Parts: sequence; structure tokens; C-alpha cells
Amino acid sequence: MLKAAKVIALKDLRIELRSRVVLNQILPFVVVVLIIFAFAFSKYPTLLVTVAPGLYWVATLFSSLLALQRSFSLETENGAKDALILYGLDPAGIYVGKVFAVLVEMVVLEVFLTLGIVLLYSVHLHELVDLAFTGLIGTLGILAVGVTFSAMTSASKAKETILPLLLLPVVAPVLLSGTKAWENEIAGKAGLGDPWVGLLILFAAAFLSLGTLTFGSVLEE
Amino acid sequence: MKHGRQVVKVEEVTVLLGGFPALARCSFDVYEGEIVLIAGSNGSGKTTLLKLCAGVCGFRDGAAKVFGIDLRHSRSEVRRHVGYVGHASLLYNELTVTENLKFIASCLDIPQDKAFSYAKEFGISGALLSQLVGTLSAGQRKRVSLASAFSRECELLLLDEPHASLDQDGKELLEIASVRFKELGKSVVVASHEFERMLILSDRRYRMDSGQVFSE
Repeated sequence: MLKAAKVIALKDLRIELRSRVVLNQILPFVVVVLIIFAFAFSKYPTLLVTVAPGLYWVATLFSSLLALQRSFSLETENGAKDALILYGLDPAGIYVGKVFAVLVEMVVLEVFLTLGIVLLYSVHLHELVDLAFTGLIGTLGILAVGVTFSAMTSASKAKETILPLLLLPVVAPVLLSGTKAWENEIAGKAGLGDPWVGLLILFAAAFLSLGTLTFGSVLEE
Repeated sequence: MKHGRQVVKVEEVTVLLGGFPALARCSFDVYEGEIVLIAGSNGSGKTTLLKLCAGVCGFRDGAAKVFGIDLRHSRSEVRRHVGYVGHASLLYNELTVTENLKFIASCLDIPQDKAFSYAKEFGISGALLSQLVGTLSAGQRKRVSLASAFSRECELLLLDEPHASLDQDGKELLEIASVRFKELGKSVVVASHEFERMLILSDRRYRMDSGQVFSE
């Protein structure tokens, strides 16, 4: 499984390094979202500080959708998904490789997103390690579900609309837990022992296990 | 002309695609060390038959075995023994030819040198190797696909319209590689409109019409 995961992740990251879709297309989208909210709430700067954790997770969720769609559009182009099946790669390895590659891309995006929140919303971040861990585990939860759903919808003509419709309700707990955990960490009320962080870990572990077990059937469909 | 052991055995198989019978009680077989030609008009079911044999698509009724492995229960096992070239190139446009070949070699666990030597045999070498696949012509992409399929350590090659997009030189290289593959005791199934071209090379011929196979 690990060999297949490595091959897929390296391939996806190499394509991203060359095409720079995340940096040239998704990052500008995230920046625009942050700026729009900054304008919308410009009369209420304290409100921006209050809602910043929620905005961070909404922006993360939307940019994850774009990154996931990009990741599977690579496989539908030229029938490459059929090739992965024909090559006999371990489906669990393909799943883990895809999750890892999009996670790396999202980590880069979230660094810029965090900087944007600090600069545009004047949010003071103290517990950086805790916030980074929460961001990482929450994103992993979103991608654990998202990679499976992207593979399911990648052959559909209406994949751009079906994927959000499927994914957003399922990952709502990540949005809620991530926002609460960030609020607590920014306020210095709780660290990694926060129950909301625990919920994020549980969510990511459950859906990673489920995805690893079911991805073979998803690819075959 | 039938040789050795039976490699593919399809009996009375029906495949439904969106409720439409792409294959209707179709029977077909391939033996070790032969080149089998399948001819037929567009929509006659050639691609579906090859995908069935490759373990890519399932079936509803009948029985199908490849290398004695039941396709109803062990499609993934069958795929390890089969190479397939379809209409799509199965390549990544945003990787170079070299990167694609290295990726395929890693996936299949075959030496990279082997993939590159087949690529050279199909006329893909030098500056072409460092070109992005997305910038290649359709014929060049087909050559890379064929090279990667031939470089597999497989016993059965399924080629769906392999002549499409190839120039005269490419078609000759394909035929040379097919004959060499056959001489190793391996089998090749070719679905092609270029019936006359393949007629001389093929050991047996089938014709498909409305999802049914007729032996010639």
C-alpha cells in the first residue's frame, strides 16, 4: 500500500509543481474571499476578529473542494483512472497517496490563509503549534471524505455541483469543531486537549479508515 | 489456427451499458501465441469485448475466464496478466514522456530501461522524451501508449483500434512488435478497422455486429 501511495503522491505533486494550479488559481480565490469579508465587515473590525476562525474554515473547505476536483480531473483526462485500475495498484495506496498529495497542497494554502487572517483581520495568534495541528487534522478529515467523493463523482458530467452537495453536509462537523477549536485556541482557553480537537481527530481517523477500506469499490464503479 | 492452452474463454456473455446490450450472448476465445483480429462497424461491441477481457467492465449473464481466472469474481487478478491500449492514451498531459514512462514502470514494477527501450522501438526518443505529453501529436501519444503496453510483463495484449492516429511508419512498428510478442508465445487481440492490414498477420478473425461475435 505504501509503495502505491508514494507513487501516486509523487506523481500528483510533480504535476502540481509544474502546473501551479494551487498557487496560481486556488490561492488567488482564497485571497479574494478574505478581502471580500474584510470589506463586508470593515465597519466592525472587532466582529472580523470574532468570526475569523469560522472564515478560516469556510475558506479551507471551499479551497479543498477546488483542490479535490483538480486532483481527480487529472485522472479523468485521457482515461488515466482506468490505467490506475489496469496497473493493479493497491486501491488503498491510491487513496492514501491522493489524500497526502492534496494535504500537502492545502498546507501551503493554509499558511497563506493564516497570514491573510493575521494581516487583514488583525487577529493575534499565540498558540501557533496548536492552531497548526488543528488546521492539519481538520483538513485531513475534509480530504479523507473528499477524496472518496471526488472519485465517485469524477466521471459525472455534473461533478462540479454534485461534489459540494455530497461533501459539505458530511464535513459540517469539521467546520463546527474546527471553528470552535480555533476560537478556544485564539482566546487561549484550551490547547490540544480541547474536546473539539478530539472530535476532529476522531472524524479524520474514522473517515480515513473507511476510505482506505472502500476505495477499491469506489474506483471499480 | 489454434495453439496451446486457452487464454480467453467468453461464453454467452451479456453486458448491459445503460440498459443497452453492448454484448448480447457473445462467445469468444483466444489461444496462447496467436494474433486474433476483431472487425466490426462502430458500436458493434468491440471495445466492450476488449474491456471485458481486460477486467475493466463487468457482465450480467454468461461466463468469462481469462487465464482460467473467473472474471465474475476476480477481475483485479486478471488485470495483472493483461495489457490494454484503448482509445484514450492513459497518460498524463502535464508530465513529460520520461515522467509518464517512469510512473508506469513504478506502477507495474518493471525496470525503467524496459519501458524506455520499447519507447525507442516505437520511435519515441531524444528530445521527444522531455516533451510534455499534452504537447505531443495524437500519433506520438499513441506510440507512447503502445510502448508502455508492450513493456508490461503480460501474457495477453488487447489493442483497441491501435492503428488510429498512427502514420505508416507507426503502423509497421506496431505490426513488428505484435509479431514479436506472438513469437514469445503470448497472445494479441486487435480490434481494428484496418482489416486488410491485419489480415495477413492474424491467425484467426472474428466479426462483430450488434453486440454479437461471429467467427470467420
